[in-house]
Amino acid sequence: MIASTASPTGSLSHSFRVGTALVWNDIKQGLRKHKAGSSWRARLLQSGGILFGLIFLASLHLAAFSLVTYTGLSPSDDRARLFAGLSTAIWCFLLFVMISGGLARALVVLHEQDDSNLLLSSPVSPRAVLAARLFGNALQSCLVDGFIIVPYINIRALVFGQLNFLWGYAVWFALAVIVTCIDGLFSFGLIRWLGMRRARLFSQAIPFVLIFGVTFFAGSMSVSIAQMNMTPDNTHMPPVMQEKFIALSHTPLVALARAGAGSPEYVTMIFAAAAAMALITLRLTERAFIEGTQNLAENVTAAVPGKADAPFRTGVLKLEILKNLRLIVRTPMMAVQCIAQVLTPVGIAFVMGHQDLPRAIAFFVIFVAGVLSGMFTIAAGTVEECDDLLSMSPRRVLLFRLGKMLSGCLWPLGLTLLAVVGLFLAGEGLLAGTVLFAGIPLGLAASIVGETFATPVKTGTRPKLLSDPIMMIPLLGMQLTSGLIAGLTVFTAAFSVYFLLLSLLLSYFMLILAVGLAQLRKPLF
Amino acid sequence: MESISVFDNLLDFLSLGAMECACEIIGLVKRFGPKVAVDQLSFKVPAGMLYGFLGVNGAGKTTTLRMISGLIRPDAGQIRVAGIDVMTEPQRAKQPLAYIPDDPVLYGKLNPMEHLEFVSALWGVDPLVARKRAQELLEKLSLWDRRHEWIESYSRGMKQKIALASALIHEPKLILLDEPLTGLDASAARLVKDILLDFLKQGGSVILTTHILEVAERLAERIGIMSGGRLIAEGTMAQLRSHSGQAAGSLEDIFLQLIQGEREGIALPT
Ligand SMILES: Nc1ncnc2c1ncn2[C@@H]1O[C@H](COP(=O)(O)OP(=O)(O)OP(=O)(O)O)[C@@H](O)[C@H]1O
Ligand SMILES: [Mg+2]
Repeated sequence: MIASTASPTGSLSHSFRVGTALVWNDIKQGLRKHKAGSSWRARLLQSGGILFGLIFLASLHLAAFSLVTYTGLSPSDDRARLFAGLSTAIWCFLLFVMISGGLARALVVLHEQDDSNLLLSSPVSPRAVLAARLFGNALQSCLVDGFIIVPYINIRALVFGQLNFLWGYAVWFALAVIVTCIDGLFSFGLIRWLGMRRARLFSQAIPFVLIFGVTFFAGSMSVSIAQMNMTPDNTHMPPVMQEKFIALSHTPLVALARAGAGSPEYVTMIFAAAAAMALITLRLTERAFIEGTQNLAENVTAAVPGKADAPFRTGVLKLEILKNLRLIVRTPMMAVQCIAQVLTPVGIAFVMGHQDLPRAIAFFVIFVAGVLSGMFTIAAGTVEECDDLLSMSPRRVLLFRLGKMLSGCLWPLGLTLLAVVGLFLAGEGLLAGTVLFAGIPLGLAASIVGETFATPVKTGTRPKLLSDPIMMIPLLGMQLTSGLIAGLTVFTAAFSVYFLLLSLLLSYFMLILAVGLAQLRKPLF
Repeated sequence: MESISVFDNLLDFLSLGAMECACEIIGLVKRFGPKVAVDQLSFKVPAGMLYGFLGVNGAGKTTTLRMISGLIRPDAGQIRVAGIDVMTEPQRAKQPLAYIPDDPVLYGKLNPMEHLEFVSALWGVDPLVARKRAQELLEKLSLWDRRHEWIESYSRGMKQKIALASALIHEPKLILLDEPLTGLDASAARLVKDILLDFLKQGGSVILTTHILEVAERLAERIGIMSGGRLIAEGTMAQLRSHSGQAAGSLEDIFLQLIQGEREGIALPT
């Protein structure tokens, strides 16, 4: 019974073969996960999603085009420096988003993969598995955050004919490798020092702190809209702002922009850094990886028995809601994820609040009502669920789905009402009305939509929520929609009631559309 | 009776010593925090034998199998698979080994052919050979007709069969099976048993944990009974019978007696 081997399992070529197979395997499965079913509903939904994505990308290209044109039209003494600063800003933004999102991804990809039993019990060198995982992670990080840099590269290279900017694609990947390594190292460190459970919490909290810091920093640095001089006959970047970009181009971070523009020494530097980081990471983390961080004993505190489960009787809806609220709180990772998502625009709100505190509060509360309701609902539906109990229950599934929605939006909408009362008492009647009429419907709609994305996990498995790429769709959708509605209504409320009514109508139209699409996904009735 | 038993043990010792060992474990210890999951465990599995590993829930069976397969590091002790030390030469020791956990993870979005090809790539099997073997195995397990479907659409028993096929595809010498018969219908269970017997006949060895005692009684040549991380009795059925003093008892009787004796702190001759 001697296995006929193509190559000895310890050899480099075998490691390479397995690494490739592993990456390809992950890609194949990832693609299939998103493949639509054969029903017209699934197809319609997928086409809608693709259309949404295309429009999103097109508008980003448009934005990049206007940004480059706007910068180019502005009179400046040092145009080269100005553009270098602009590129640096965009590359830095990409870097931050990659780093912040990558940590949670690293934790899942490196430490919580279901197939590690199979891979690590095979004679493949664990280093090959680790390398393949890191590579796959870099690829994913590239794809997920590519929307930041790809439009800029395309516009510079293809519209303005600066073909050297195509190097940006290579730099984009090298940067992803560097970031993946940093996040990978960091995740191993976190686990070693804090234990798996707390590491998971931190991996959610740290990105938030990073993004919050960056938006806040950028927000407080940039000049306010009033200073921007946006009249049609006078479109140019104010000198104050130009100075900021030029200052940025004097920092070491400009290396990114130079590499992105194809400057040979900088491209070499970035690639050397990527290779070095990859080697260092493999060296340092291999041992920890073999010993299987996924096997670390976790001191999971046992749930108190006999409280969460209750017999089916008249108060079933109330019990279901209480149970969900309890489960969200008992899965701290999810609570942290939800709250971290919501706090992202605090920076923006804070900057707006410089001049107009009530307006900033109104904006923030509407945004929170939308995102938090949706996130909590998803969380409530994503915790462990006893499927058998659900289907045996006399009230059937509808009641439980209702329970998920209610437990999701109860707190956020309560908060919204509080804000309405506060604003009203502060004499901001119009803003109070805006929050009431924009925030409440938004929260309700987000709950209805979010519920269709919630899938209960198997008992004993950990809900992954945000680290599941498919969750990016509702999350981004919710953030964009909430941000749009919040911005639109609060902005128009400053002008006149009629504009406000118009934007409310527009918002309701959007919400109805979203709920309609969600009903296609998973109809309530 | 005592003298027979001693003689028996001696014979046993001599024959075991002479035989080639598929797996040898010496003084294995594993702690999870303060909890000692496996405590000074030692046993040998001769080549070509099915070793039945029994014990109540939480006895430490799964932990032991995970240590043999190199998934977790023991705190003390030695493990040798086909004479190769798992700790010092993990990659070489894993080559002749297949491990099927109690809840095997299969790639749900792959079809069984793709899954088996991937697993055989891990063990370095030539792709052409792998494809041929995969077809043979799927036909044998009567899954060939459904080879185009994704594994996630399979029933529990079918998934179990795929797990077995992925253990056999690289022709291991030792298979570690953690409760392989849960969820199988009678004919599928028979099929699995037949495949295992076939595998044994070709010289392979199996370590199998199960809670279905009559399966162990029927298939296993040697049986080890674990409790609290230690081996409280070990041997052939005949030896276990004589240990427990139940000349005609079934394995179930013996098992329950041993476990109860252990709980009450009665020392049994081992
Ligand atoms: N990762 C872990 N962290 C902490 N304790 C663990 C871990 N894995 C196992 N244990 C503990 O070790 C002991 C032995 O567990 P093991 O899974 O080996 O039992 P088993 O014999 O396979 O039981 P079963 O028949 O239920 O499968 C148990 O008390 C278990 O709680
Ligand atoms: Mg077990």
